[in-house]
Amino acid sequence: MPVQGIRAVTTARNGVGAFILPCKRLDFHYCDWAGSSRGMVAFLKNTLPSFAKANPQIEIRVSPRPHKHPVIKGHYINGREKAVCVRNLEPEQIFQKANLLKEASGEKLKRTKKPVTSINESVRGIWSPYHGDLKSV
Amino acid sequence: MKRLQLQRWSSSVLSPRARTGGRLQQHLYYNLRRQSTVSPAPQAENEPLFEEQSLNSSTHIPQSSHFKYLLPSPPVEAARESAKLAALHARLYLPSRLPLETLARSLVDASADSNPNFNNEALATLGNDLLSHYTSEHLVCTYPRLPLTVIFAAMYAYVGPKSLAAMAKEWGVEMAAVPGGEVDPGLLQFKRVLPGTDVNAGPVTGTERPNEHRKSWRKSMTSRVVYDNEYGDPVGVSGESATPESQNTQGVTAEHANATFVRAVMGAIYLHAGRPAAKRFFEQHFLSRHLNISDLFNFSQPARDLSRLCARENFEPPVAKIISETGRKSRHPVFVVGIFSGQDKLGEGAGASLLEARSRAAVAALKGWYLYSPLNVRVPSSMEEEGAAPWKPVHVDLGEVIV
Amino acid sequence: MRCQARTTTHVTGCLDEPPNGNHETFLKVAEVRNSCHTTAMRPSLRLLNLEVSSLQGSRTLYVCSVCRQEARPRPLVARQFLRNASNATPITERVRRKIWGTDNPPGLKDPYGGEGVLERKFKKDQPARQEEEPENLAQTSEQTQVENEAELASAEAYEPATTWEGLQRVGHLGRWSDLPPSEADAYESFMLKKKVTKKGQLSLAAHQAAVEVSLMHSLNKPLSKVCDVVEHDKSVFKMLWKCKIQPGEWKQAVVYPSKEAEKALVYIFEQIGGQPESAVAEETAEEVEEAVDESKWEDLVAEVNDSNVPFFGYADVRDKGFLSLSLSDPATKFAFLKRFSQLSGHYLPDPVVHSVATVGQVVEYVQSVLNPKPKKLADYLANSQGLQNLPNVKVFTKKQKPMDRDEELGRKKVIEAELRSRGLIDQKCKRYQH
Repeated sequence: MPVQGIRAVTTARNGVGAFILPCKRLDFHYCDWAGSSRGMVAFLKNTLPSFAKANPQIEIRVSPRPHKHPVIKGHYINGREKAVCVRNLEPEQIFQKANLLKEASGEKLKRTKKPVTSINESVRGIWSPYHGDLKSV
Repeated sequence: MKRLQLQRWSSSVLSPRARTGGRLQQHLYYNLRRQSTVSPAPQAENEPLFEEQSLNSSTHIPQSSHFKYLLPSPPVEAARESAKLAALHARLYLPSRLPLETLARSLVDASADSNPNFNNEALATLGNDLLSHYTSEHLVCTYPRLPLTVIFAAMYAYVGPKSLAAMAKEWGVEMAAVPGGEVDPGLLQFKRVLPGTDVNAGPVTGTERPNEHRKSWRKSMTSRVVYDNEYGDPVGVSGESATPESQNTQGVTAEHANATFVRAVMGAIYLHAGRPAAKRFFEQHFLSRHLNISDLFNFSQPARDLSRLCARENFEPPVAKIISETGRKSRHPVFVVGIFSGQDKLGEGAGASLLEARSRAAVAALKGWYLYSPLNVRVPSSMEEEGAAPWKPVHVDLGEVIV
Repeated sequence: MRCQARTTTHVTGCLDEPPNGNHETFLKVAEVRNSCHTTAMRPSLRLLNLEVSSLQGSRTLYVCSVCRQEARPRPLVARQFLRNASNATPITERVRRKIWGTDNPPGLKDPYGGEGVLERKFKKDQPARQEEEPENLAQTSEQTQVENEAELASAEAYEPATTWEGLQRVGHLGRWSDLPPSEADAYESFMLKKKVTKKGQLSLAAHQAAVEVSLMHSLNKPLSKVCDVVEHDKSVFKMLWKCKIQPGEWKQAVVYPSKEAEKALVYIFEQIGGQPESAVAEETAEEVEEAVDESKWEDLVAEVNDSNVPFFGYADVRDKGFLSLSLSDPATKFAFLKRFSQLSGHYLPDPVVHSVATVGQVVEYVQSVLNPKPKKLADYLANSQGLQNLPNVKVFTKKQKPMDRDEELGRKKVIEAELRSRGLIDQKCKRYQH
């Protein structure tokens, strides 16, 4: 057997070809009776149509959740969920929260220590003591 | 290369055919189901056929809420109601010529609904052929000297069931727990295999190989090209009519269902939007994925292969020379060995022992040979476009080294 | 040691002072009380007051402490023992006085009824008997005489009854529904029984009301009299329907379709407030027949003789000029609203009556009553066109529970089948007709 092949799986590079928005679903929950839902109700009446139109790739579900604070839940492609309670917020602030959820990747929030994250090895190479001329003094 | 006959393909795949057999009630409901993607001409022929076959003279469909529960997959009208489906359509940037109903159909596996007019089997077959065609030509044209085993591995990596299943998950496609008429059309519907069943039970029988029954006989690589599928795995051709049936009753794995769905989407795009859209979809979603081909090589005797290769190519026989070393008598020596053919260094490798270093050097040299890629890669399917430049033949290699 | 004083002094000592409500006496008593509290004590309590008597005094006459206290010179203490014993003022009068705080409380002399029915009868009998003799000849008085005689007879032979047997029963005694309806039971409501719901018919009502009120304005008639006529004759209504309203002053608002129509309407409305409308309609019927131009509208409107069809089957107004008429004048507003509510059957609450300024606003208010704005957000979103057109939005009316998720994924039928097979759900509860 001269050479065999090892089976592997390609890794996705989101954005190199087509970009798949990681946020696939947004659930909006409100309450008809509670006062903390007022901003949410106003948002759903006025701002939601334009938001939904601007993001056709997000499945948006609006359902009442009686006697609870209003909540926006985002579901992501990696299977994780993010929930943001928007009690007592104004419609503009709720819109900001919705955008925040839309732009999130679904991963846990982590601090990047390095300036560059890449799957390619370094362009200039790692220094090796075994290559290159020895400097003579 | 001859273009695929779109008209001929589409009419056979998309036109509704009357279902044969089945229970009384199902008969009634199935015959009254219509596909929205039907081309006008065949429909006129099928109308009198429907009239004959429907047992009830009235064509009134009982629109009770229980109607849906009787169907094996959601009705065609439900595709417009589903928000999930519309979101999926937009997320994949699918062309507007691809209707939501076809996308809904591509989510229904054969194990969920055995009626070929309402499942994705046909679309998946077409998509599978398209994907393997495009991937193989890309691989062969980009790396002309790639050994066949590595090509098989690379094909598996690009368009194998595992990769396609991962892609379906990345597209945000959720799976239904149990298929039925009431489930959301945006969910992938398939009958799940019972937990604990062994999926890879036994070797595949019923292939076209003449000496299949001789277990101890060696299978050559070239025979795999002829008899096996695009990943080099044996496929049971004569028993193919049996396996789908058994799959429909036993169920399929989630991986298999997801892979079928992705292939069905490819097929649907080709049918509705044409070849350029399909090519574009392939490039954006499949080719953009990252694969390090040099990691797919697995050499057993690289030095021997290299010397045979040099002999074939009329290079000077390869000689391994130490470029630098350190710590020979210590516990962790490092040897940097280069393999030279005359004055040209073919490859270099570092290792803890001389043998290891030489092997690595030989591997590097062989990879350097096999992973040759011409600068301007042109695939044969580019000739299918209008106004394509005249074809310049692609570099065709002798093949891998025969040892 | 027995007390040798006379025992009767105890009792008489108490009753000697008559009850007196005098203020001065109270003060005196208070003084006395403060000085010597034994005098204020009740006789029984005084026995507890153990006085030490000297041994030498035992040979003399023994007087117990109670008698000794009695014998001590005491001032007269006014006591209010049976304050309410006299019947001078009845208890009701006393309560009233106490409530009001004065001796002459305002109000009826005897607001609680005071005397019973029989007492009043007695009092009536006595003056009636006195009047009987001089008024013997009057016819009416004869009847009263007979009645009075009967009463007199019964009064003389009057014995208060102990049970109710044989007594006359007055009233329906609970079975009011068995009695046949009397004249007073008949009720003709001012408003319609049913509210007018169609938009066109509402406009018709508003238009008709506007035309009539402006006609009354122009004829200088009392405006509310328009409501006397509940329903016009068909021909009259048709003329009203054909009239146009030009926005501006109420007096000149009506634009008549033709001179004859104007004359006929003016004549008809002159009659209102006097004789009933039906007689007038017969007289002017001939004029109306000549005057009315047979147009295609008649063909379109079905000849319905059924009086139940509101507005004679007309669907909508011809012109919408009535919407901009202003209702600033309170008399006009009242008359218009009265007529409008009579025709349409809609009640207009006070705040709305106060706040409405034009006829259009009235119609708008009635529309809002008929088609209320959705209170729940889910209904509002379900009606909003913007969200319904978006394919990626799904609005739920009810709270989404885990069972709804199960149904979406298709698990619910499996769960229900399993529960049914285990007998935990009623078998008859058919969800899926398998």
